[in-house]
Parts: sequence; C-alpha cells; structure tokens
Amino acid sequence: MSAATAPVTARRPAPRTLRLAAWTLLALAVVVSLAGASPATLWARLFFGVVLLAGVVALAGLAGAWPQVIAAAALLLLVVAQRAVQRPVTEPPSPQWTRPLQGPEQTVQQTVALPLGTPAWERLWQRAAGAFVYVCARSPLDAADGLELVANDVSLGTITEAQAIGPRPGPTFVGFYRIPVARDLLERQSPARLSLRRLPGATPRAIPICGTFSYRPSAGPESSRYFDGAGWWLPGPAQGGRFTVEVRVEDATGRPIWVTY
Amino acid sequence: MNQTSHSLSTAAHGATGMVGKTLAWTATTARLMARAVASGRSQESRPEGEAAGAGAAAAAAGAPEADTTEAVSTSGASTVLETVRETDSDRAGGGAASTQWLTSARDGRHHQPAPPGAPRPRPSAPLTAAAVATAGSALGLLLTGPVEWIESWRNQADLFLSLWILLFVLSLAALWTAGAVLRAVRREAPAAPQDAAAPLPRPRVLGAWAALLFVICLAELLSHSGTRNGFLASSRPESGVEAWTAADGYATLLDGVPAQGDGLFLLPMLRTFLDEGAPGPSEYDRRAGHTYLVALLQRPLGTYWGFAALNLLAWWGAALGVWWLGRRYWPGTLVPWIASLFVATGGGFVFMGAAPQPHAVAFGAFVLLLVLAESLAVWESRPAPAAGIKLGWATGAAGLIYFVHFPALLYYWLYGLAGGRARPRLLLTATAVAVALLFVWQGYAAVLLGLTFAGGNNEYAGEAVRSWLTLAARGPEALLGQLHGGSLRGLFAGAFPYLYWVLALLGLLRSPARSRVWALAILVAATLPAIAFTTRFQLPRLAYFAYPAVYLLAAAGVAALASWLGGRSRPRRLLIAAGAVLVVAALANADLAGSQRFNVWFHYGMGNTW
Repeated sequence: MSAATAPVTARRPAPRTLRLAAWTLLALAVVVSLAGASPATLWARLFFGVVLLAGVVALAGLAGAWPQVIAAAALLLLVVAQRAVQRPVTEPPSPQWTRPLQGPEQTVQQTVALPLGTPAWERLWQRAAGAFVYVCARSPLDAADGLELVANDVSLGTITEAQAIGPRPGPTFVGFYRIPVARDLLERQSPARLSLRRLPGATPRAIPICGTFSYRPSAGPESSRYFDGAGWWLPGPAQGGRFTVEVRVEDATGRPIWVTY
Repeated sequence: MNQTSHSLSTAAHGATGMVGKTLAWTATTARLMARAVASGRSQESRPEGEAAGAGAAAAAAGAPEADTTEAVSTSGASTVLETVRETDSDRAGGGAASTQWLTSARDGRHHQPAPPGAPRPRPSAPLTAAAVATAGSALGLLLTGPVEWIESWRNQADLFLSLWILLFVLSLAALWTAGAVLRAVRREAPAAPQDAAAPLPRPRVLGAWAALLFVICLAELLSHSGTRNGFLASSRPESGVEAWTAADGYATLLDGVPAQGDGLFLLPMLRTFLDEGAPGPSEYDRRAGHTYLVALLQRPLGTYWGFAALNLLAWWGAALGVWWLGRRYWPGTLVPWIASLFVATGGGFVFMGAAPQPHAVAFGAFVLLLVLAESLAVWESRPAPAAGIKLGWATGAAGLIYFVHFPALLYYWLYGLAGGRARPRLLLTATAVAVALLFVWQGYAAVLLGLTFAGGNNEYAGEAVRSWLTLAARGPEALLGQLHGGSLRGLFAGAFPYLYWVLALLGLLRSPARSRVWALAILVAATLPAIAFTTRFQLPRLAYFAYPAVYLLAAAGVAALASWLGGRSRPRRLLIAAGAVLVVAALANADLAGSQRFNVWFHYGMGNTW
C-alpha cells in the first residue's frame, strides 16, 4: 500500500500537550491583561489573574484536558475583548442631590400625569384611604421656614417637622415629609402641578430640596423644574434627575399602594 | 423517659397561664422526641456512610433484592430511593443503572435484626440534637424574664422555633465534634469509602438537560431584570418596608437600566479593573474578586448585563453542580433532576439574578466548592495530590467574592467530623490556605492599591461575633430577647418558603443516612453564619447558602410524595413530581403576578411575624 492510499488517522493531542496549551493560553491572557495598564490596574489585575483565572483553569482541569483548554481560551478571549472593546462604564445619574430654596422668588415644580378616568385609577381608589404628597427636604423644618406646598394652585400649608416620616440618621439629614391632599384637588388639573416655594417673610436660611434620578417620569423628562428667580433649570435633561416630590396613594394602614412622580 | 413526660404533663395540668403553656409544650415535645430518639437508634445503627453504602453496594453488584439491606427509611410503604437493582439485561446494556425512576412499595427496604454480638448501636447525632433542642427550647421559654411579648402564643411559638434552630445547630455541631474526638481516642478506623456515583447519562441527555437548565435560568433572569428584580422591587415604598426610599426604590441606573442601589458602590473598583480610574476604599474591598470577574464581561456586554451575565453563569453552574451532587448522594433517583430544577427556579437566584451584587456568584461558587471537595476525593482514604492546597485555594478565591469561605470551611470540617472522614491535616491545610489568601489580598491591596478594608460591610463579621459575646455575657434573658427580635424562624422561612422546609423534612426522613448527614452538614454550615449575623441584620440571603441541602432534601421529599401518591404508575409519579416542581417554582415567580411577599421575606426576613 502506497503512502498516498494509506488510511488517514487523526492524531489526537496527548492530554499533557493540551494541558500545556491551556496554561500557555492562561499565561498569554495574564500578559495581555497587564500589558500597558496603569500601575494600580496592573497590580489589581495581576492578583486576580493569578488567584482567580489560574484557579478557573485548574478547576476546569478536573473535568479533563479539553475543558481546561476551552476554559483558558475563553478567558483569553474575554481579556482580549476587555482590552479591545471601547465601552467605558457610564456614570449613573446621581441618586441623591439637593437644590436650595432660599427666597420666595425660587420655586420647585413637579408635574404629575395621573391616569384620571381610567379603570385602573378607579380600582385604585376602591382600596385607597387617601392621597399624599411626599416631599424630601433637609430637616429640621418649622413654620417660620415657610416652606409652602401648593397643589394645583391651592396651598396645602407650610411643611413642618410634624409631617416628617421615615428614618433620619440625624436631626439635620434629609428625609420625607408627608402632606395629605384631597382626591378632588389632585384631580382638578391634568396633569397635576405640585409646587414648593418659600413664603414671604420666611427665615432667610436655604432649605435644600432633595433630588434623585428620574426613570419613568409620568409627565415626561421635563416634568421636574426649578426656577431660581431668573430662569428655569430642568434636572431631567440636565442630569437625568428630578426633584423628590411624589404622589402616593395609601391604603387604610398607611401603606403606599401606588406611587408616581 | 415516660416518667419524665408523665410528671411534666401532670405539672402542666396544674399550672396556669404562661408557665402552664410552657410545661404543656415541654411534656408533649419531650414525649415525641424521646420516642424519636428511641426509634432513631435503630435507623442509624451503623457508622455514617456504612448504612447506605452496604445496601447500595450489594445492589450495584447485582445482588438479589432479598439480600439488599438498608438501615434507613423503614417505616413507610415506600422509599425515596430506587434500589439500584441491575438485571442481566441492564448489565448487558453497558452496566448503566437499571432505572432513574422512583420506587414503589415493592422496593422498600426492611430492617434485618442485628446479628448476635454486633456492636452496640450509637445514638443518632441529629436526633439527639433534636431532642436537646426541643427540651432546651421548652426550658428557654421559661427564662425570658418579665416581658409582655411572651404572653402571645405566636411569640411563644416563634421563640420556641428560633431557640430550637439555634440549639439544634449548635448541639449537632458539638455532637459531631465530640463523636469525632471519641473515634480518634478509641483509634477507630475511618468510615468506609463512599460509594461510586451512578454512571453519567448519555451525553445527549446530559447536554439536553444542561441546555434546559440554562434556558430556565435565562428566562428567570430576563423576566426578573430591571424594575422587576426582586432585590430592587422589594425596596420600593409599595412593599411596605422601607419608609426612606423614593418611588423607584433603592436603585441606581446602570446603562439606563434600574438596578439595586448598592451596584453604584461597586463601580469605582470596576473602573480600577478596567483601567478607567484610580482605586479608592469602599465597603466592598473584601469582595473585589466579584468585581474583577464582572470586569471581564463589562466590555462586550455593558455594565448592567455584565453583572447579570456573571450571575447567570453562576446560577447555571449551581444548577448543574446540584445535579452532580444529587447524583452522588441520591444515585439512581429523580432527586438530582428535581433539585436542579429547584435551583433553576430558586427564589434566591431569582431574587439576586439581575442584581449587581456578588450573592448569586457566591451561591454558585459554594456549590462549586462542594463539587470540588468531592472531585478531589477529600473524604476518601486517598485524596487527590495537594487536595488541601487546591481546596483551600478555591475556597479563598471564592471568599474574595463574598462570604463563601464561612459556610464552605465550616462544611468541610463538620462533614469530615460527622462522617468520620475528616483528614485533619488536609482540612487544616485547606483552612490555612483559604484564610491566608484572604489576608494576602488585604495586605497586597492595602499596600499597592491603598484600600482600607474598613467600614460598613467590611466589618460586619467581627461586629456580629462581638455582639453575641456581649449578649452571652448579659445572660439568657438578653439572648432570648435577641432571638425574639432577630427571629431565626423568620430568617429561614424568609430564605426558603415553608413548603420547601416541609418537603425537605420529608426528604430528610426518607433519605439514606449518608445523604442525610451530608445534607445536615451543609445545613448547619450554611445556617451558622446567617445566625451569627442576626445581631446586625436579618439576612435570608446568607441563609440561602443552605440551598444545596434544602433543594436536594426537598427534591427527595417530592420524590417520596410522588412515590406514595403515584403508586405503580410511572407517568403518574412523574406528573406528581412535575406538579410539585411547578408549585414551588410558582412561589419564586409570584412577583410576576404582582405579589412581592416572597421578595420582601427574602430581602428582610419575616421577623417574628407569622
């Protein structure tokens, strides 16, 4: 039988060769990971490259030589992708910030679109005991501070510590204030407009009003506004934020069953 | 025993109010437990491992059914396990296990009287611990001091169960340790080697099952991502727990997707691994291994889905790992299959799957360590070369993800001691390597990266231990007050709904001794850290490390139920098992129907409410 007609038998690599290949791939992965990195990143990656990546490859070796090669190759692929793909970690919008209300010319305004007239809204009120506006501001607040809440152009009075609700780690931390609002007043305008302002003659100290990020504003990204006396600032377009002024419908136990902003 | 319970009953009849109730509890429970201990002697009359091993080994060798003995599960009409009886045709077919299905009454195992001159049976450690816990809990109800809350039956029952859990776990660990010391003093031979697991199914079946588990895990993750993630959803005001969170709950936006709020604090470390920023100290310095792994996935998948994908891989790995462990400890039964489905639909994984947190990865890592310990033959007379170093390395590496090293190291020791298979030198090596690795990271990162390992999550473990010592110094009233405030019953019912516990209890009763001890070792090892933390937090997610034991035992319970209710009809038995799996899976998915109850319980525990 000539060499040309001899049956071709595929030669399988020996397990030892495969294992050597796996560790070579891993070493390559660690080198790729470290090359050109800043010192802090280099040290951090080096530690976990040795501890975790080598551990994964060793662990895969218990399942056999091929799984070990596959694991090492997968890790190399991930490391190469880490270096090659440009996708920086985006900074999330701040979950907690404040803007001060200092004088009567400044206003925080939150517009809320309620699902008025829908079956869901009616069903909600079958279980509801009342609606409340939740405002987050820095404590403490007293009547002299003159922080007034207005709902659909009707004043709900000044906010004081008597309406404070929820935990505050300290007396000057931010926290919620809970102000009752009648259903018919809430439904008087659509969308409902909630405003915070300082009464004339109030103490001159600034009262920080909390803001957070905005995910699903009921009246769109521009529903939260701040008037500084000269112009409007919109935290939605500016930083993906909103003022923490919310409408909560609660049941008889005081548990919120529906919350919107 | 009878005299004791009789006098307690008599006393209870004459007493009134709180004391009377307590004495009534004591009398009833003492009677029940005494009976259980007495019967337990005959159920676990041999050294652990031998009981199941003898029967299984005989069966695997093709012994006639009548010769197959099994020292467990004797009272019912049927058993969980399929006796692995090989027929000639099976052996001709490659020696695979004769069937994967459940047994019927005909297959039940029966006691054989002990041969004359046989060594005196030892009392069962778990049953003795249960008896101690029951008596101690009943007594504990009398030691609360003058507190109003103890007048309520609900609070009494809660305290009784919490105290029972604590005493059972501590007693069992102590009994196992004492037993191991006794064996060492008597120079008894180590326990017999473990039985070989049943042969693997055909690659096609295995591949299909792995694919099915992946699809289920993926579907659960996708259906619980974003605002539907349980960790996030249960923090919203509508859940009725948090009074400080805004409408979106304790959240942040990662790539525009709402995610559990703590994810925000992992970003500086993530940026360090991605070379986007300088490192800075955080509450999560000890969990940097998790962030490193996320950094490998962040570029191709983005930040939110990088976290989620790593969770998914760990989740899937956990399902496969539990299947593998189930095959080993409940060979030739439906148990591994059912248990792996429990993992794929498990409440803890569903809750954590889309959270940018290390918990799901840690749950997966824990099972990986259990598998690794078996693969390295840690419990055998001839472990793999350098098994202690390898196991320690893996444990330390997993400890850099989350607190995995606590339950893992406890498990190695407890199961080693309980099963009479402890190789102290190997376990010491594993422990030393694991702990050393954690400390090496701390020193390395402090010097080279400027991390401080201080504050918040970095210090909770030390704080928890100190709190317990302070409580112990203040006396039983303080301890019982802690158990009332930080109900262990509420903690574990939060981690696993009651239905799991009922099924697991059934499975415990119907499982072979070896599997039972193994599962109890995991249960004790996983619950101890969660119990320790209750002085600071109720953390059902820490108790969830018990899931390999709970799910496998619950699966054994389902298998037993299917066997009883399904009779001789295999389709009916399968239908019952499938129905049970669907029911428990529904609990983990109740939030999709609008109920956050199970998420809230998993997040915060049930407290002492019922």
